[in-house]
Amino acid sequence: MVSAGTVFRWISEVIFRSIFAGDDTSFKHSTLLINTPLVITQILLASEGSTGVVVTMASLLVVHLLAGTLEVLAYALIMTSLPAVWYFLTTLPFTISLTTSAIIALRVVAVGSALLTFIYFLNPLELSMLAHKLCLKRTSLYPAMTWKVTPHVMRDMKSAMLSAELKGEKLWKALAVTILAVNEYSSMYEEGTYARMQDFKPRYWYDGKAVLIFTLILAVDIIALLLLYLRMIPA
Amino acid sequence: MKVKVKDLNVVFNDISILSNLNLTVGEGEAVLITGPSGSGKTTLLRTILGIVPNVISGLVKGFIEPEPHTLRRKAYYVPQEPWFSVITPYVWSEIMSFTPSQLRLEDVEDVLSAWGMSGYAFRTTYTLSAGELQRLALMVARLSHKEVVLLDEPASHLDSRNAEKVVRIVNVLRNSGIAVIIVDHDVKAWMGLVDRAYVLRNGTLDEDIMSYYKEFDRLVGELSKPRTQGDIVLEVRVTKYRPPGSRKIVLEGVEFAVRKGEIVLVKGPSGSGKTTLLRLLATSVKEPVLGTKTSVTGRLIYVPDNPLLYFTEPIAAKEVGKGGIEKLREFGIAGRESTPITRLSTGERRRVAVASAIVRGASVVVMDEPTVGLDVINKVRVLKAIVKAAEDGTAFVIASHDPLVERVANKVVNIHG
Repeated sequence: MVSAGTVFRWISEVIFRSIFAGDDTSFKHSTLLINTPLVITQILLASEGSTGVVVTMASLLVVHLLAGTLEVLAYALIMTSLPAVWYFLTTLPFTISLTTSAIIALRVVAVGSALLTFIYFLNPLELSMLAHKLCLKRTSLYPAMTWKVTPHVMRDMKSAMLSAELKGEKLWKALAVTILAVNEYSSMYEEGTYARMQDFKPRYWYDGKAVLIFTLILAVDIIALLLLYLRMIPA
Repeated sequence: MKVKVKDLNVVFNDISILSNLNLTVGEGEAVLITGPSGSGKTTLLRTILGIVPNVISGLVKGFIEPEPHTLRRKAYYVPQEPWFSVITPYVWSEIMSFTPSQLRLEDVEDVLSAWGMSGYAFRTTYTLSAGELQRLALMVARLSHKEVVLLDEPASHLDSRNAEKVVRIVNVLRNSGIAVIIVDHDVKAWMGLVDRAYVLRNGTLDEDIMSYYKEFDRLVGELSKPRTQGDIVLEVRVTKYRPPGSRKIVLEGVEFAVRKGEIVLVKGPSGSGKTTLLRLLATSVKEPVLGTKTSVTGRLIYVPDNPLLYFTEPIAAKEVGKGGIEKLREFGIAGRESTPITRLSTGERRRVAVASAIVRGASVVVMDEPTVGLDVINKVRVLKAIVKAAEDGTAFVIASHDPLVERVANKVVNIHG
């Protein structure tokens, strides 16, 4: 039988891989000015029915195909399929239609995958640089540090859960000890960065090819959305 | 830049840690400070930088030149766990965000290549080994034109080959005029490089390192391998293992068996996959893992490298239960049974973890780096507890680069990565 610990570790692993896995790539050097409207457009498209869902999924597939990150899309699909199944089952008694509930579930998958893709290609250094330019020097540390610290904490949480499971202990105890570890880490990070914080000047560059590809996908999605709004293609 | 410390006194909660301490480190000089755990070595570095009293509260009296406020801007501090000194998620961003703005990405790649980290620019920093993080930190110190470098136990997480690399880099820093203060238990690694070495004892610095080390030789001499081994309790076979999401095969053709009462050491350079093997072993006991076959007789317990993550109870007495109090005393934790786990030292946490694993009836205990960051006295204490448990019938699989662990191991499994 699969234990709660195994399921929890599996979920945290999928979250980890769909957001934090992988090195920095040129595709992570697009701009928020394009990626933010892109994710909004994709969410609006997905809420317009099955055609919108198909367009959203197709545009996500193109992005991941070109970026060579299909594995990340696969993890995003696995992750979003969990709430999608929930929505499918809970709406079924009200819709009394497998097709209608399936479309609702697919919307959840499309919206979730679009959001995860947005986060995956979001470069924390761009956020840090923007905050720094707005003279928010201390705040500029947080995006960069979040992307550095979160994988560290998630890895430790997995170790704590594995250790507790092998001891035959309850899962919540492993989560409690992870909180204690995080508390220790916060003072260790404060100490480790004490002499460096004032030197922090985040740098970032935009990759022309990545910006162009995301802009083209945004343009296609906006056109599809307009056509759907104008009823020029069936929803 | 010259650093001068005169009549320095540091008191924490009415306990004197440093008392009338004097130290001078000139430009281009390297000084080593060693001493037992808890003697105040790290406190000295923290006080020089102003971490004490600005971040960690404590009473500081004495004279530091330049003043900690000024020194903070001129110094680079690498704590014992180097991952706590890295702020950004990528190697390029860690270098470019802390160095002069004229540094371009191509320059970063050139520097990385010169420091033996070619092709690392776009790597995520959380995937770097301790040795790579140390090198990255020292690289940033060099490129950001710091004048003083403070290193807290830089060799503790490293195997001898990686420790040598760090020593060579520190030598480059020193030759470029940077003043270096090193705090470390591993005196041998640094003796060829440093201008002076001190032992920190009773709050002050003493130049008589030899008498301090004679005591260690005697303690190390007390370590021996467990004598009796029984039937096989664990069999491991990893044909090929590629972590999910990675394109690289981390482990291949690893096969070994562990007998009752045996200590098996998993040895290999930093980043070779020792920790991965232990995690894999522990995971495969619970669920099937592709390319890995594990069979265990009895219960297997896993103690991660950060022993805090092992605990599921707030105090040692609860962690081991009523039946385990005697075991705690056996392992030298007498009087600390009711102390919160968070207030125990790393060495104490590891000994409590061993006691807890035994009390819970573990036939195999898997431990990751049980001696890292400990002084010889504490290393010997932890290893003696492990040997004692092995002689009582518990088998151990230990991943470590520490030669002392090899002294108590019945078998060594080499991992090459």
